[in-house]
Amino acid sequence: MISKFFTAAFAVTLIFATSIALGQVDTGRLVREGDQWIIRMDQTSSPQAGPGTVMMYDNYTPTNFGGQTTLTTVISVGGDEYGDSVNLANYQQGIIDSAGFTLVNNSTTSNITAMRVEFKWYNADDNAFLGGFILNTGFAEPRLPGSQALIEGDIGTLRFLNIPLAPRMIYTTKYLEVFGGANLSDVGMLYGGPVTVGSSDRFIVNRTTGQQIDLGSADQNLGYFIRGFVIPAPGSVLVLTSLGLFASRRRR
Amino acid sequence: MKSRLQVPSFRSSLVALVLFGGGSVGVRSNQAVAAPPGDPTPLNPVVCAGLHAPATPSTPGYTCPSDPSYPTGSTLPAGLSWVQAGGGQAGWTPDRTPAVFIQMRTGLYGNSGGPPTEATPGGNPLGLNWWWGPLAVPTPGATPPVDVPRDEGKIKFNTDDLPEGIEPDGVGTPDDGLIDQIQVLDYYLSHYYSQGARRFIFNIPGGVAWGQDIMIGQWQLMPQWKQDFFRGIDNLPSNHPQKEFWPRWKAAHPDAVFEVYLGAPVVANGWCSPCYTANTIPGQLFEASAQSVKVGTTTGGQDILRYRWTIACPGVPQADDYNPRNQSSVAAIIQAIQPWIDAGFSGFWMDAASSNGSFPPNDLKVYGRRLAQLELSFQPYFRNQIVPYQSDTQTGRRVRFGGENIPTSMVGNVEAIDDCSVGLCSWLAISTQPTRYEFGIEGPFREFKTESPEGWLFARDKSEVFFVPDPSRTLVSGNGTRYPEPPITFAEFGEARRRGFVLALYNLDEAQQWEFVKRWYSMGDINIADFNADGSVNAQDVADMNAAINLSMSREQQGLPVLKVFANGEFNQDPARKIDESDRTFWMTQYNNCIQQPNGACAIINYGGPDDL
Repeated sequence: MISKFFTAAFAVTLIFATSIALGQVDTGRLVREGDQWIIRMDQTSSPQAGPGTVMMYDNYTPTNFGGQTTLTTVISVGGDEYGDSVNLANYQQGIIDSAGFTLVNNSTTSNITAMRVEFKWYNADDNAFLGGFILNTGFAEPRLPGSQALIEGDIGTLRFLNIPLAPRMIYTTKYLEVFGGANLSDVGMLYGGPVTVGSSDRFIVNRTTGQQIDLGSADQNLGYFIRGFVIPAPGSVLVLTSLGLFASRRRR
Repeated sequence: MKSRLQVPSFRSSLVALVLFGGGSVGVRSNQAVAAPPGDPTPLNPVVCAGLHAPATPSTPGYTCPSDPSYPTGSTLPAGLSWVQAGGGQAGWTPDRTPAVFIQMRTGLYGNSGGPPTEATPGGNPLGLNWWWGPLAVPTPGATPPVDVPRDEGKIKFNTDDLPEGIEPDGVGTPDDGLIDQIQVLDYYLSHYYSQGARRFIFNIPGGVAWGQDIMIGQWQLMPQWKQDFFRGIDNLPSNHPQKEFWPRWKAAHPDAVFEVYLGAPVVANGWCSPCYTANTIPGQLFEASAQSVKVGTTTGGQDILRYRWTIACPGVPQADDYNPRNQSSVAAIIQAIQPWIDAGFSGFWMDAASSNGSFPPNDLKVYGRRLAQLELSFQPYFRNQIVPYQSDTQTGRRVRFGGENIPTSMVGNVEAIDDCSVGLCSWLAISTQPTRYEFGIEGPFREFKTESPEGWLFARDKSEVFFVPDPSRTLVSGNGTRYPEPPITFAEFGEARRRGFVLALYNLDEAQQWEFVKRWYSMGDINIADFNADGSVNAQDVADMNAAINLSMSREQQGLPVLKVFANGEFNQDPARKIDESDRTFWMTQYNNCIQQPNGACAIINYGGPDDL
């Protein structure tokens, strides 16, 4: 009889293990069907986008930077809040799901081992503050002098912030501190183009000073992406009827 | 063949090879040979003072609790006092009882089932394990979570899939063909108790809200009916078999100890509720820590990094670590933990409490976790709490704390054990592996054999460091890398035992791991003839038994210490606890009887609770 128990447990474990091996995180959820509760398995994708997750602005994909010149020092005054317009494609009401940005260590001698960077998003139409957060992040491997990096959260990383989307947004970043030897003035960001999803106005802006900066052409924009999360359609499901795993509402 | 477990036979030879000094399977060739069995080795000789010298700065004022310069504070609630110079309060003593983790939460670290959505308002946002109740989810924004009727948490199983000992409808329950979480919990507790377990660690019973770190408020994350369950409150009829189950089970098993694994971060109200409220107030930005790891490289040569939260408490002001010098923090941790104490739980394991490393560099808050953990371990309020029904003494068991992972510090290029911390507090090492090691990445893997010149050795009379092999055998690093690991072997459990670790079972479904553990502590039901627990009774068992008993007898003759446990040849449980030819004769008799039985009726002896801790 013990083996029967472990068979049942193993069957469930196998489902989870198999799904994890596919890069997915599966969780049971209960769905009421008539008088019955049935356990269904959602598949919350990671890193693949799942239902309701939509790339709405992308100037981040690696080929954007191919052939670009080396970094300018324009965006190396790390303490300032720099922003770029992000006109969303595929816009629907929802919240920011995840976002990406870039980091360049312009120092010729010093590493960056950790940093604090502030993110803020504004509605470009009325300049209203939509939300933001401060990321304290350390690097498992130090960012070496001259190195360039694209940095992103997993799918869904920012959902809990409930930051609403707007059709036209200003996406800003402000480097607050760096550690490891490099200085804030050593921090840079990547830019390039053209934007592959959505669009961006010609200028980037220093929100601290109000200065508008033209990086040379309309195709030169900061290396950001914004993924939106909209109310999803019911996800793909795996009904566990074959395993006999049901949940049933008890009749009173 | 008389078989209870099917295991590839070649492993038996590996067992013998490693266990009895035959080589270094799984050990890097340049590392020290494992200590002989039963040798209570000394602590790593690194001294406490060196680790807490200014070269490794900690939070100002944080020092070892026994440091005479340790100042007393004045901000504690009335009636409490700080740890005094020289220890002051009753000292910490190790409890080396092996443990079984009752897994109540599943899912990847920091990423539970996902947030509730309009389409899936329930979901499984706390990532609870399948049997502990996907219905036990709170309503977003509710603090504490709203009640979910226990009846709605029932799960229906096919009859053939029912766990042993769990009746489909339960005696006295309506004939609805259902079982519920408590019946499964009953099974786990009762089964493993009968198999020698006396210590149960309830692993994250409240769950982990999506995107958050493990919160200390595990009690508060549970729905009301589960809180009531642990309080012995229910509305079941008096003849119901589960009526007041929890207090009755405790009273019936007075030598069982219950502990909880929870998290270190706390917030002002004592827990981080799984709320998903907006956090869009200018000037009050949510701030969280994350580790960024490389996940790829672009064609243009840029590194692609991905960050994962390490400390996060969304929807509320920033979570903070326990600060034993802050009155509100002390009050919060008392508020979070007191209900568990009242429910008979006497041990509390704090996730990520060792703070190995510094993040960001010299970040005092993060590094201070280790020393805050020590202070917590000696906090007079908790030290003076006595939990009834638990049998450390006639009157009960004092509340105690432990931390995850093994506290270490870099001494040069060597990751050395922090003896100061090991000697003052309990620690556990989830996912410790014989051959896999990562330091500085989210994965808490530790290569227990070889990471210092001496290997990692702990004195049995001075330490309580758990060896908790990874449950899935596939480790997922912080950067998403997957490392298939071979199963933990009988010999590796033995080596961990010899090195002074305390053994634990992390995955309740790893039945063979528990068979190994039972033999290294002489506890529970043991099929005598299956010496090496490989599931087969054959000549390899004879060879392994002879090798073990010969080595033990030799060591005893030399006056060297030997653990008096089954795996070392203590079979007959003679009063003198001497390993000698009478044990060999006893075992051979059982073996011969076993192999001559046509139906595999081998003698199984219940050795009771663990021996020779």
